[in-house]
Amino acid sequence: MKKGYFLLLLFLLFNLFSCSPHKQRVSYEEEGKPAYGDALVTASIGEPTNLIPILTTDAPSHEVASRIYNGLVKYDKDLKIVGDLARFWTISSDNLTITFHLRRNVRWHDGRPFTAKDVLYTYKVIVDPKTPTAYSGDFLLVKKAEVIDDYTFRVTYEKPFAPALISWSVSILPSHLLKGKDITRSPLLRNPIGTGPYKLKEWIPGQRIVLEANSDYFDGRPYIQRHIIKFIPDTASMFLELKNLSIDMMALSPLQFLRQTDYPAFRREFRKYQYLSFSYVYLGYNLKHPFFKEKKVRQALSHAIDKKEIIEGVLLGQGIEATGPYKPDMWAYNGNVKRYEYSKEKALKILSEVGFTRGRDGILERDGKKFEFTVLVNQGNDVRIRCAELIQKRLSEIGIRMKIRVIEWASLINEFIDKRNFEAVILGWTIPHDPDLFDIWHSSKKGEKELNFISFENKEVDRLLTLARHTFNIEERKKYYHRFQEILAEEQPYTFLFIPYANVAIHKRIKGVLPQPAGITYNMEKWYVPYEQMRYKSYATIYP
Amino acid sequence: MLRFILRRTLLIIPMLFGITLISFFVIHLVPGEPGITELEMTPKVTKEARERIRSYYGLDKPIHVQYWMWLKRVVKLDFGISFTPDRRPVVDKILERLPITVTINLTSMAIIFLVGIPLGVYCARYKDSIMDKSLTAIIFAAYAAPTFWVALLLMIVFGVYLELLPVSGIRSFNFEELSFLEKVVDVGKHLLLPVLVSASGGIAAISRFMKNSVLEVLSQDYIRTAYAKGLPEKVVLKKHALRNALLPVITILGLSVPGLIGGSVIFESIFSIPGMGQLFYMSVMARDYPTIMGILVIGAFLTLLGNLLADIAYAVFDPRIRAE
Repeated sequence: MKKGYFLLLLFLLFNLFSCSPHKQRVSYEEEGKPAYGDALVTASIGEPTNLIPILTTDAPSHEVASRIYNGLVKYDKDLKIVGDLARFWTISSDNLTITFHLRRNVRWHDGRPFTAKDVLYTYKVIVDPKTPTAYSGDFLLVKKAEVIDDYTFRVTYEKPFAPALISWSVSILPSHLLKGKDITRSPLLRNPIGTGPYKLKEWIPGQRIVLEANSDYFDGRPYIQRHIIKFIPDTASMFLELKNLSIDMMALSPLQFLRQTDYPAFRREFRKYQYLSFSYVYLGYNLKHPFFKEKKVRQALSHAIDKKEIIEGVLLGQGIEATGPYKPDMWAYNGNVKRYEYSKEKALKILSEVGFTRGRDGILERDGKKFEFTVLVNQGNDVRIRCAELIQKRLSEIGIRMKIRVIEWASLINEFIDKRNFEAVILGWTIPHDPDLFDIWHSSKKGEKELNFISFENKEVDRLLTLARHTFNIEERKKYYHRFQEILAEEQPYTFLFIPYANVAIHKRIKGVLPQPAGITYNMEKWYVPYEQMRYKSYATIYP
Repeated sequence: MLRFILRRTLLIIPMLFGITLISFFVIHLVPGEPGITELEMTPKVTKEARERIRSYYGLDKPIHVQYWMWLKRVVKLDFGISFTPDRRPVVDKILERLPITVTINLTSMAIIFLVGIPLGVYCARYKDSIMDKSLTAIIFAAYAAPTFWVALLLMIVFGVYLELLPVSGIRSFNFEELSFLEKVVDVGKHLLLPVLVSASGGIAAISRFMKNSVLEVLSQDYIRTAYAKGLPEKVVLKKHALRNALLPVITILGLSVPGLIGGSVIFESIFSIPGMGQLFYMSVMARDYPTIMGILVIGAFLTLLGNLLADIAYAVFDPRIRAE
């Protein structure tokens, strides 16, 4: 009897420790031919909240939804606006009306045809005051939206509004399933029906989402048959899953990118990609502060901060210096602006010009007031905290005492930023694909809860931003935005610190990945795995 | 006895009420609001949109009105609908995560008691021997080592190098296609490391506790009497010492009832286990008031219930208390 138990135990143990993931010894170097099949396994820190994108604000939801839905327009790899569900569009000569001509052969995932009625429904539900959406702003500017025929949709605006066009990249929702129903209670929240390259196959709460290729996709069936998104809330575990080949793709930190993935076994399986991320980090000054309201003081601080050192020290070199609110591969970028090289002498010279002298304790002072201030940083953001430490050291060298205060995100925003109760702050902005930055820099946006929280005010900037959003002509907009960046560089309302690189590791069998100004995922439905390199040939073999 | 139980049970009601009142106001004091925190500092989100979301969740009403609305629902055992955009009933969200957390906690509790108690008795009996000292050292090391660190080390060794166990998650992709036995093995493989990690701290606590308790009993007069009348050591330890030394363990058992539904945020995140700890953490981060309150109320109720059970069990097992 006892022997029987022992054998059973042995059997269980054997089972427990057998069948480890089978790693194929296939060479992934060949480019191969595109083939249908295989699966792409990615991981997400968070789980989507729901899959009706206008109702969600979190990144995981939008990432998944972007594969299920289409907008009327989208950005291509060079950040130019191209048609998606719209074949093309025309803009009236007064820049007030946009007419979208829609694709005719598009079907929803349930087989029903897509028409202009769906577009009208999407617009109506967004502007409906009962819908809890965060994105109504751009659509409330529409004066009239009308269906001309099944495949023509027209919107008219009160005033010409350049970002209007790209606002129509909003995910179009199926009218036939939602009209007349309460969208916040719709079954589509968890079982979305879109027009996109992938359909939802299963969603296991807390574990994963499986998307399946839409064979009927208007732009051609995607090569990769399944896209599996696992929810792994911890980045350290996610990284182990990557090394373990359980996931195929992950964004890497500079340390992981440079050091922890630099060994032969990893190089054999993965290729690393790099592109400029759509974000920058800055030191923002409260322009109501008695010292910071002077342009010269801000310029001196920009000279005193060593951006190169920050990029080397904090990002291990994985970033570039920022000179303004755009990144160099965007059409709106102007690299020809005033730069502030690191120079203690220049900083001190400017500060003495405006009346600062060194006190007995070595601290700069003017009229008996010492140059001291506190910079706020949000908790958990190590990059920004370390930035603050480096800046602190550099400023102390010229006699400025900077204190660092780390505050939890919600408190930082609600108690300090919103109440304008800060001296300086290190934060980051996402760089929008469309260069319109009216909400951040226009002087009318200084109110409570609005984003010009440093209280920047410049008549010319106001005029340029308004002009630039009222024309669709790219050359004209470029002119305005170039001048806008010159003014920002001169004024230094922020010290623009750096734009980090985004680093991604993707399994080598996945081909067709090509970093572009738009990033890396813009052509995901064209990625493929050559047949002989496929890893998950059938569903049953999916065992990462 | 019956009156004692009845009185204690009735006392639970005002205590629960007090707990909900305090927690409700405290979580509303925290800066940030549901659905809005993520929208901070986002261009394209206008002030009007923000207000729209606030009023949608009823956050524009005064806080006592919000509490009253919540209380009216809860007495009917309706925990409401989550304040995250998924708009699912709080009960569903909790029930979906409860089984895995309870499974892990029950297994790890069983391991803790099955390993911890004998270990404690052994260390007490052979106090100051080399075995006792080395066991103590190992146990303290296991207790002191941070969970996340131990977990990551185990994952690297068993997951990445040896490829014996999965790194994270609770099931394989092909779970549905497995036979029953394979399913058991699959879940077992996934849960082995999490259970071990979560038990390691508990073993240390229980064995220490047990050791002290046994040592105290062993110094009592009746143990000397037992030895003196020539009883074999086994009987002295098992019948006389252990029985008395186990009494305080009842308290611990009672106190661990609420722990059954509470998960650890840290190891659940590291092992990607969709359990209660994660749910609670995410709800707090999203300021999902109904879910936070739901979990708190259940937790508070179980704590009070555990205390009650411990008290009753004490009375049952310890004649001295019964006499009083």
